Amino acid sequence: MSSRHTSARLADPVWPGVWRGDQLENTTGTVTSSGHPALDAALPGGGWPQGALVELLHSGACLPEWRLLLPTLRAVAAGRPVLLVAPPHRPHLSALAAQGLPAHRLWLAEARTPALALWSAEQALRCPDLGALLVWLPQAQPEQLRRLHLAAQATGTPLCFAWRPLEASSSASPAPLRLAVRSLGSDGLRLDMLKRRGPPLERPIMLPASLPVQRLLPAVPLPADMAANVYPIGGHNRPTPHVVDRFRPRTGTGWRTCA
Amino acid sequence: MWWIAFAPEPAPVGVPAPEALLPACWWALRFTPRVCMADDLLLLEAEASLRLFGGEDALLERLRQEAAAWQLTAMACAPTGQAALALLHARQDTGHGALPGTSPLPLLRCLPPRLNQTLDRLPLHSLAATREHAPTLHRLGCRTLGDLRRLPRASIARRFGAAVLLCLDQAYGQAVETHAWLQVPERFDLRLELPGRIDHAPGLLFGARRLLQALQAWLQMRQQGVTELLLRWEHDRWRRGDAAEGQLRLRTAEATRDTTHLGRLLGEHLARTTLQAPALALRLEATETAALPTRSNSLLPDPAEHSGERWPQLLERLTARLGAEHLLQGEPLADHRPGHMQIWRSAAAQAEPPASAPRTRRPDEAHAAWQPHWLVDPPQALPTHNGHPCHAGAALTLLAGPLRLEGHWWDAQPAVRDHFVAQSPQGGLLWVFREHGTSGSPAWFLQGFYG
Repeated sequence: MSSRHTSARLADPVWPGVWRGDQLENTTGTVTSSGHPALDAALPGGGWPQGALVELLHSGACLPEWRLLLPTLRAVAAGRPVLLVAPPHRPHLSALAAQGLPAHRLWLAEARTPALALWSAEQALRCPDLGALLVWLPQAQPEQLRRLHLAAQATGTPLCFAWRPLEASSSASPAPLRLAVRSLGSDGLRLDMLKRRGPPLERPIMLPASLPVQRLLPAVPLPADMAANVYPIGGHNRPTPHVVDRFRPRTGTGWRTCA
Repeated sequence: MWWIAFAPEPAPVGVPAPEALLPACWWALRFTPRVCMADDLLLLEAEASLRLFGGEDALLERLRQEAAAWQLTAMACAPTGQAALALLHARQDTGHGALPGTSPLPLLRCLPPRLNQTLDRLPLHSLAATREHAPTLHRLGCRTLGDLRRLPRASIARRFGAAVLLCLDQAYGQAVETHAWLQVPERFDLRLELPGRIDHAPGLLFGARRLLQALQAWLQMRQQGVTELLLRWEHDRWRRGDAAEGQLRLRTAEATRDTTHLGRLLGEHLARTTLQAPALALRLEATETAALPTRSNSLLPDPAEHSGERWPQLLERLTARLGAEHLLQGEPLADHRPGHMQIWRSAAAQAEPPASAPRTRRPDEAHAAWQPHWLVDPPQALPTHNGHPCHAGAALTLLAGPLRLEGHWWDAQPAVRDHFVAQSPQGGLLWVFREHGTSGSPAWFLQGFYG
């Protein structure tokens, strides 16, 4: 049997959850659009997956949460509550309300210990009414993340975003989607797709996500690599390395484990 | 008439039998309004409910399946109430009591045509009225109810009293039975003697669950939901210090009769409670209830119906574990000072989200762009180096500003603050302000982050 024949046969989805390494997963679950077209094009299913753990890694110095997630949260908060568990600070409601996230849909759970944060997040994920959960986990073990992922999977509806430090990028994680988020000044975000159900992305995604405060600031020239490095949307034609042959994180010391 | 009697498992020492039987009585009221306690057993008459529950067999089967949860060990069904009681008493005396919790229960059934035949064979102590005269009758050669019936009626009445004859006639269906039917009390207040001393508060949960089960039956009968519960425990009389009893008050945001949820909430609260002395008894009181009509079943299954906890219940449970001051919901206030634009309240008090967004003044466009997404409250003082504010050990670059915001003139010390957007060397944007105090050099504070 020729290899060409095999690949042709595998091209059509045989089983849900089975996909070819050089294609994005044909997800059966529901997704919510991220609100950023460039990011949607790179996510399996075209948006943030519901009922799955999404791991977002960021450095402590920049807080990119709202720029990245506000479009999604706006859509979610139209009908469902949003819960923040153990956020680093208290959100400023009028700033969020001005950007379309109403205050009466936002709840805040301040956990005194990491264990309490995990417990609260897990309990919240079991509630089918929940729209989105944002949980900050400065220190979490893979098995604890797996519990969260399973809880989200069992309920199936909530969006679950776990914020973890960038140093966690070299450790294994059960989350089906992992992104490293870096801030490019006030007018953009740089996303490195560390893990997704699909071919690896060698180039980072540059999101033009500007803050409202941007127009008050003096014009700053765009970073030199911003224009050049934008990943072509929807183009997967170039030869990609094998699915297990993921890129090596620049900061990491060794090959990342594919969990 | 169609009577069913239930035998309870032996009550714990110190608890009067009727009190231990109450929860089961309330459960039985679901099937018929004619429920009573007779001869330490639970007796119900359900002729009128047969059609509703789909006939004798269906109702019996349902009772058998559900009864085990209420600490009942055996049941008997007969055309007269006294006969049903007699069947159970005769059975208990032969030592065939089932283990508690056996499901379905062992059932003794006596059909109307065989009533006389069955009763005739029963021993004398199976009827309440003949029990005390059993030794005398034994010496006369009477061993069964049949033997007693064959004796002359006038002599029985003269020697043992008319009550014996009446009871005998009632059992055989020749006289009308009268019972004091049970009424559900207006208030729920039930005491439970614990089987042993409980030293740790979480250990009370087991007893509390039994009380909650009774509460559920009571709530269902009265079509109520509970909004406030009071759980009290009595301390050991010989070892108590100052407090003779401790108590725990539990409030729910909306009326509920979901005892699983109430049990979880109690568990959370008990886990944080310390007993001052070992507890011997528990008492549960429903201090506030509200009408909660039962919902009709729907033909189509509601996908959200049974798939998990509802949002208000989740908030209550998180509040119970984290503490009311740690589960918060913000409310925007009409103020121009960033530190006073919102107030955070405990979320449990307002679990039901308002239908529409509350009306608040929106900050005008020019100011809205300045607002940071994260607020540091209270503002964090920044060290200065040569008059420049520093954060995380490096000097900040001021990108935009100043935006001067003044406090209210009616404040004791109206603050004058110049707000700036600053960039830290790590790349984050900060919202800082310079406060002109009464004393010399201005002080710098970090008040927010742009996310």
